[in-house]
Amino acid sequence: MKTKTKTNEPQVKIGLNFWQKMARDWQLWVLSLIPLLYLILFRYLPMFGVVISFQDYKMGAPFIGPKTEWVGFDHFIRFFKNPYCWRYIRNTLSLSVLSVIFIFPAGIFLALVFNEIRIKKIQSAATTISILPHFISVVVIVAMLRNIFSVDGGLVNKVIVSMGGEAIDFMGASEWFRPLYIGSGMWAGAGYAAIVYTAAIAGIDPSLYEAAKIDGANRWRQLLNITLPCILPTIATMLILRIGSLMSVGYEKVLLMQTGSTNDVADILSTYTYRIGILDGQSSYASAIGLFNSVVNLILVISANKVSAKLTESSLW
Amino acid sequence: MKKRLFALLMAAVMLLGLVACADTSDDGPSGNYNANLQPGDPETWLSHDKVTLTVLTNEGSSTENPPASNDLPFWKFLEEYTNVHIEWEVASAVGYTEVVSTRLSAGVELPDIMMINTIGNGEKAGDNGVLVDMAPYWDTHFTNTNAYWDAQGVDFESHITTGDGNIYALVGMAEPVEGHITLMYNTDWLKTLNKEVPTTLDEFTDLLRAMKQAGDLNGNGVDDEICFTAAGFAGLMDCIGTAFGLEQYESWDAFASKDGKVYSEYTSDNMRNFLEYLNELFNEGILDKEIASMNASFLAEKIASDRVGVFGYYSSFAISYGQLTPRAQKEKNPYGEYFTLGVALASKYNNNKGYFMRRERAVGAPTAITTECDNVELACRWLDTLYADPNVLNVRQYGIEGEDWKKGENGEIEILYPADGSPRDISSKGCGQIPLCHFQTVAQLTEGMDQYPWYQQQYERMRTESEWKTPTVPHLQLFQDEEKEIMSMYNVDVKGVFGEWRAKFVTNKSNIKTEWDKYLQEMKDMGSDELTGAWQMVYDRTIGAQ
Amino acid sequence: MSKNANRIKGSKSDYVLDAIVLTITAFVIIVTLYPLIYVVSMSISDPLSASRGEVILFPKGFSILSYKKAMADDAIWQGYANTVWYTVVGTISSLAATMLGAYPLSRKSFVGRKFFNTLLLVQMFFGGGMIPTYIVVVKVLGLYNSRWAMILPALTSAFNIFIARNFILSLPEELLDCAKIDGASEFRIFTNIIIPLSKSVMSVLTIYLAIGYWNSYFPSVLYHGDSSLHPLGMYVRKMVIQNSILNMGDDAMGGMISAESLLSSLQLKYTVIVIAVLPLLLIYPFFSKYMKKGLMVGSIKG
Repeated sequence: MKTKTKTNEPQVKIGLNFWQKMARDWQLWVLSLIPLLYLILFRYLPMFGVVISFQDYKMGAPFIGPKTEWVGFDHFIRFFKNPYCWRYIRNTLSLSVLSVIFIFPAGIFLALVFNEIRIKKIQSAATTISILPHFISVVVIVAMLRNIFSVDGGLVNKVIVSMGGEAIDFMGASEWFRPLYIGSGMWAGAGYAAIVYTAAIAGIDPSLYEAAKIDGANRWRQLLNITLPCILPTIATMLILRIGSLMSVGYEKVLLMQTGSTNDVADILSTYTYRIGILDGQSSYASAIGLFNSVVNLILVISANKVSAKLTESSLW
Repeated sequence: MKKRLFALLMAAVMLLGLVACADTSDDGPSGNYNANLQPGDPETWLSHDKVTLTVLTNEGSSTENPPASNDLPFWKFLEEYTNVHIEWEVASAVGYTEVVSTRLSAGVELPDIMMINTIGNGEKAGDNGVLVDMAPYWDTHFTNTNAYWDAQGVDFESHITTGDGNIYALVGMAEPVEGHITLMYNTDWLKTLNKEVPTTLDEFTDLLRAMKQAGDLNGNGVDDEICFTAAGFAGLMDCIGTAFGLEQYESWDAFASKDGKVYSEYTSDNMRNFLEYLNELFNEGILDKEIASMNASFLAEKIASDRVGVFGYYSSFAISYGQLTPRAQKEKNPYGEYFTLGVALASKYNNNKGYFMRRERAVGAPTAITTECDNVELACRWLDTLYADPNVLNVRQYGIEGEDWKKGENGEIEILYPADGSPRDISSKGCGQIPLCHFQTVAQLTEGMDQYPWYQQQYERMRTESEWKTPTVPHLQLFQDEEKEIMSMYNVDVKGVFGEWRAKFVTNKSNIKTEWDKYLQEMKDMGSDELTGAWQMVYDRTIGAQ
Repeated sequence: MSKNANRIKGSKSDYVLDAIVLTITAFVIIVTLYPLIYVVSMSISDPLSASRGEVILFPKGFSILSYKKAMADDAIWQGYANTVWYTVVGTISSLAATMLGAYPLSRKSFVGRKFFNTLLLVQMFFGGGMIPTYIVVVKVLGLYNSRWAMILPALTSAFNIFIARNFILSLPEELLDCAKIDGASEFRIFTNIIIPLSKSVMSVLTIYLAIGYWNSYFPSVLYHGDSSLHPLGMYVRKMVIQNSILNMGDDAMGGMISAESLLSSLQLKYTVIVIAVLPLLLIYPFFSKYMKKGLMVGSIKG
């Protein structure tokens, strides 16, 4: 974390050239060998696959060879010409932004709340229970969702009808798709996300609290003035990383929730890519869309990082 | 000096020849397959020495049938029959699509024979030299297959040959007219209402309305009856679309032709009438309110709760799902009739002649031979034997000889039943459905049905009392490069638009009367006209040219 | 006087806080628990009632048939064993790789810092995808049908390295400078100072990594032709997606599916979830405790 403080580094190191520095740091290089190797082998070596975004890729073909047909930016143009192009982007972004607005803070909120539970048994029970939904396969979550919100006798509609209302088609209504998606996302993910904040909170120096108590601060004050600011760097880091995947909403849950009539909000980039790329086998086109995705994510992260650096003086790099 | 040079030259030429011949992609069949059989070897053996072939497939999407393995009686039988040992690689059905795409694309660690995703994938892989072109072997090595389909009058070869004349993968095929999706009626409710199975669309609508009127047909005091449902929107179209003159069935692309002109069924008046009808049913509370999110397992749940009056699905489910009903569970009678099979509905939209679409089409994930196979000719013969050798077919359709059937005096097949009266079960022996695409025969699809006389009778009625129409457009395999490009560009998108509007129109999210034109315009924007153009091109070249 | 007033004021709003906290906690627990109880109830109910949707909260009827069926399948036990292997080996390997990557990055004077950072950043967004990764794993490294195929491709991530790095950066710098002046090598510093002080972030990482490895199944789909290597997740997934929308197959048409198998597959979905989650459920509380303990020790040391 870069925090702008003045450090007085011992001045011995002035005057070393590049190679001398390399030699001086040889131990650090050794330490970082394994992660470095990993990056090169498993992340950079396969990166050559990105080139199929610019080809008319056929299965089984080598990625670069005499037979490869280069089509330049044709796939990108095709994507931008698609009448639904903006729809996919907008749907993806809205799900993402909504989840940052609602699900992201939920994790922090839960961590703070659970931290204030004074009865140890309840606290550990609560934290354990809250992470359970994370383990349930998304298929079952959507099935349960459908069961509860079914227009054909689901629990919620039973209550509505018994109170004299008319059954609502939650799963088939466009206006309910996002709330259901985000709501179930909060249910499944808040507890799990809270783990990292709980750890951050637990790492706060207790003497700060002691001092505050002596000054007469109540727990509310302590929460606002100590706990929150101390975990702010953690929050900022997690937020920036989260923004870096803003355009990458996974297809599985959305695909399971789609009912056709909700497609104007429920058809996102990844479900489209799944249909085109995996089901229909058009890997170049899908890869091009994926590349576009990545570029947008990169721009978003760099922007988020700059903003964070200005506002909170802490940034990712 | 000259001698030395000459010798060197000869050596070089020989070496070059050697290298050229060492090319693993074979140069074609070496005449008729020579199995190197020695006197004393059974005739059916494909090779004197026991050869091993590696086969990749998946477990199948239902856990009902056991995954392929050499422990199953069927495969044991086949090994003895052909003297070919199979090493199975049975991958998970989960993500099999990704596995195949990835492995074909990477071209590494390929088995000798593998099940792939689509013919299209096979073509692409074949063009790149990953899969073997079986066309040169077709006449000589696939004699059983050729004989089988010739006897049926079906042009199987056209379904597997690419535009360039290659055969990269074999599909399965169903004998026409079998295993069809149809309407099925709750037998008890029919009886309560004192009605017969409808034969016209109007009778059908009347029946549904009568069901709705009657109220508490399942006697549980709750208003939870669903008069009409299916395993999803697609299934809904499949079981009743023909009453509206539609030809679309299952995953066929919805194109048809009239008087030489190809049109898209998605944007046709037939479709409009159909969707309006469904919307009416939906508004009257007859059609399942949840139809947009239905699937097979939800359907099973509803049937098990005895809530369903009419549903559409594969006819065999009248038996399977029927057993889930409370009455079946109470009576513990697996052979009883709980759902009655329907017939094709006649209406003013189909000239008062109800029809089913004759399914002369490829089914199942195709099987291909990869270029890593060292024994291509043997692999071809093995596949041919598996698919269409008469003896193998008998075992596949009827079970193990001696246990499940025996040959009668005149050579006909006599089915043997278990002594304790339990239903016949040959699928646990690996017979019936096999995890490589295969030909679905009448016998296979009607296997065990003679224990259900009511089913046999109704199935026969389906087959004989309704017309079986052939599609008015050529099948997808006949597309050539330019047309395939167009399909690639627009098909997925156009289908997507249709699926969305279909759901909206039927479930009242959009008013079909006022927004049909908007829908048509969107289809146009997505490329529906270009698609129709492509189909027209293929049509003109094939059916039209005759 | 003011102290007293403060104390009374303090305790009142403290109790208000308690009330709010407990209410929220109760709400969270109920909302979270309901679907979970539903899952368990579905798994132990009478199969017919389960498939009819008669189960609302508590089990209807009682039947451990689906458990018997699930446990009778060898695949589950093999899957368990494999998953345990992958989780233990994977978590340890990943933890090591992550910390080894995080420490050098935290040293401001490290000459390779910018290089490393950029490397991490760029790959976060751009990747070749499934096919090139497959080629590398199988062709280049020959890991087909190897257990390490489940671990190596996801050994560490920029996400985790950044989290660990930030944590190390928050440790007091003077400590390290002192050690340096005393002549300690970087290796020494890493093993004797950084690691012991990083218990909290390592606990968090351990939890995230362990859960990740426990649930992971897709690499096995691609890289394991030998089914004896399949993790539990594969089995769970297979049971769960049967008959659901993601499952497409037209071999439903031929042949008949028995009612029994239909019923059991409807219920099995829930049973396998319970089976897969139970061990984690039992282990997590211990980890949580250890994490808190480790944190207290760490902070006392200063």
